[in-house]
Amino acid sequence: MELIYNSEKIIAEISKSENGYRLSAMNGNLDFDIQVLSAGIYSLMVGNKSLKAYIAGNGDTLFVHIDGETFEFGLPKDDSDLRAGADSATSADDYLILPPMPSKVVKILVERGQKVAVGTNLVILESMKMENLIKSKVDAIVEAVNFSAGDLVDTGQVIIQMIPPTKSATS
Amino acid sequence: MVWHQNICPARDFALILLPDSFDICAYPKRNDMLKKILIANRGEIAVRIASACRQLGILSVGIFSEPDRTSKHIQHTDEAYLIGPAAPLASYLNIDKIIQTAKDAGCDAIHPGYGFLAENAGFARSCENAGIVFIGPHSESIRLLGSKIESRRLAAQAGAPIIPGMEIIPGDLDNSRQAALKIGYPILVKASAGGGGKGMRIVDDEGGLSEALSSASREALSAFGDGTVYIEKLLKKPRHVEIQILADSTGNTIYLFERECSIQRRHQKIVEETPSPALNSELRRKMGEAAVKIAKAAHYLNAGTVEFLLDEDRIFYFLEVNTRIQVEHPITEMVTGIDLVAHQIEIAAGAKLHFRQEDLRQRGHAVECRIYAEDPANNFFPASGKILLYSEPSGPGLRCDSGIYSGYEVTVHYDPILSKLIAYGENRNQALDRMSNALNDYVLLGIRNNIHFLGEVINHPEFRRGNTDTAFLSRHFPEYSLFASNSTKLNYAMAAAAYHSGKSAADISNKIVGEEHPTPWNTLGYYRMF
Repeated sequence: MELIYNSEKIIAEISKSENGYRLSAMNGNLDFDIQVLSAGIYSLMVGNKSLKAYIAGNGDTLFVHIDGETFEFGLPKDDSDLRAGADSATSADDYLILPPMPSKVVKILVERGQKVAVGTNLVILESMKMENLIKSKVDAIVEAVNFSAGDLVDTGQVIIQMIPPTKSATS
Repeated sequence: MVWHQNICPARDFALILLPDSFDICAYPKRNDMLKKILIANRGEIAVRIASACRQLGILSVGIFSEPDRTSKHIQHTDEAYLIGPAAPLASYLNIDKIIQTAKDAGCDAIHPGYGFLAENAGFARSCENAGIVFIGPHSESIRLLGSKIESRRLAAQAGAPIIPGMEIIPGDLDNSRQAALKIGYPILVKASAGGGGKGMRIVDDEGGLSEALSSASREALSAFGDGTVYIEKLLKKPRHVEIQILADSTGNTIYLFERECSIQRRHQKIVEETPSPALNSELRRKMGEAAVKIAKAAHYLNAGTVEFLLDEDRIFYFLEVNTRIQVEHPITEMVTGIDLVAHQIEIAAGAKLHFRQEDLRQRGHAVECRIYAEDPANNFFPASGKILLYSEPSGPGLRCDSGIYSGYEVTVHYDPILSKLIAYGENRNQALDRMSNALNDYVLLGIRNNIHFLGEVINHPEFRRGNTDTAFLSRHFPEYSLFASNSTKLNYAMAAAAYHSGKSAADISNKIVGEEHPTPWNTLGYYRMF
């Protein structure tokens, strides 16, 4: 999932692992186990260390309290309300694929002219020894692929450019 | 007479000394008590007063404005009445409406709390005229002590030191030179109509006086439309130290020691403690006696606080008298064992104090942190919104006076104070350690608040050393970032957040075994029925 922390987008995916769960985030993996204690209150185990986590969200923000610190994570909004006043259900930003942090391109999974759907795998990036799979958030057509495997990309550089499918049909 | 330490009933733990002959079971006599009290306030202090009423067997009546219908104090009073819309002038400051409500509900007294009408002499007089007991001093004492000029004159007459120079308004430069010389440099040139540092100059020696006077006057004229400036002595690294007073109707006036409240931001206290690290027993006695003299000179009745500034050289100067219960009263209750709010009510009912000055002891150390709905990372901008999850810390020596709960909506209409966390310890370090741990355990999710910031203040090495003065926060915390947290905890938080969101969105890859949505059966945890 995507979270916004300190105005930066971060990717935090969790998967089931042998003894619990594994968090794959930009700065590394974290193996943990977690149990619900009561609504919004969790027991988190990292190694043999037990921590209590309090979590509550209001739709825009997820508040997490762990050991005296409260973290605020912004939740990515539905595409529909990303751009205030825009009629389209998707944001123009969704058609531009940028790295969330300086990364190395491991593999480009699409090519120019290809039709992609929401959820299509686009590119695998690597940063800080962690691999990140970037998926498309929109139905689109790939217009340009600006980098290839092995390239280094900085934040702000567009790796893949896409356009809405209808737009290409009329042009 | 043999004295021994005893536990007083109807108190959490009293540390006062009682004579052997004292019948502890006979205290307090309740037959002449007040019967029903209207609490003209809201939030945590209204909750605090309601609990004192309940403890004394007195009915309590709450009042609330429209947005305060869900306020915690409404749930703690025996009765509660809507008195108007959000705007304080139409509700909590509406004297006629409040007095009418008190009459309609059959109240024989009104407790004003702090803020709002607490130091309004007109309100106290209206109560007196309506035949309702105002739980506080007489309206004339409030009027007298509420005036900066009159209260200073009174304090000076009572022999209390006042900051030299306060009354000196320079006529011409020669006059000013002589006045400044008499006071002693460094001095402060201040705008008479001033505030917020405008029209204020520090003058280190005679050479800078002329320029400071004219520039301060110019600045004051453009800022306040009044160029009048005055001179006063500049106090070096002043601490804010105040003395708690209780006075009954027989004239028995005692002091309940000091509170140091130097940790302030724009004159708003955020951390208070007692005893003050700066006082020894002799200075404590001197300041206490000075406070009692001022209170007696004003024919003071009930609880009050005499505020002083204490400079680097341990010389104290009178500041003002607060004619009400203070926000920070719990720390005095912790170290003396005296329930100040209960005594306010008893004194108002005509009861005599059942202890004397020499019976009081200051035991251990207490510290209070004020929890505010404001964002320390954004220049302490007030925050509002719904409290999504709330859990107060508990443990040895802890007390939390709060006006909030999980699901409570913090509005923008009133003071952003949410609660007060108080920690008691056998010594200063233990009290501060308990406070630090308690702040760590304090969970308040949904709105920005200063809990983490307070933890940093409590653990600041200079605070730990007791090196505090009123400029402490601006010196040591000029900037504050919410995002200075360590990455290990951030990872833990992300793991929990991703799991929490995944559970509701059911999108954890490889599918979680078992329930994807928490049901009562898995949120309750493991339990057995008996």
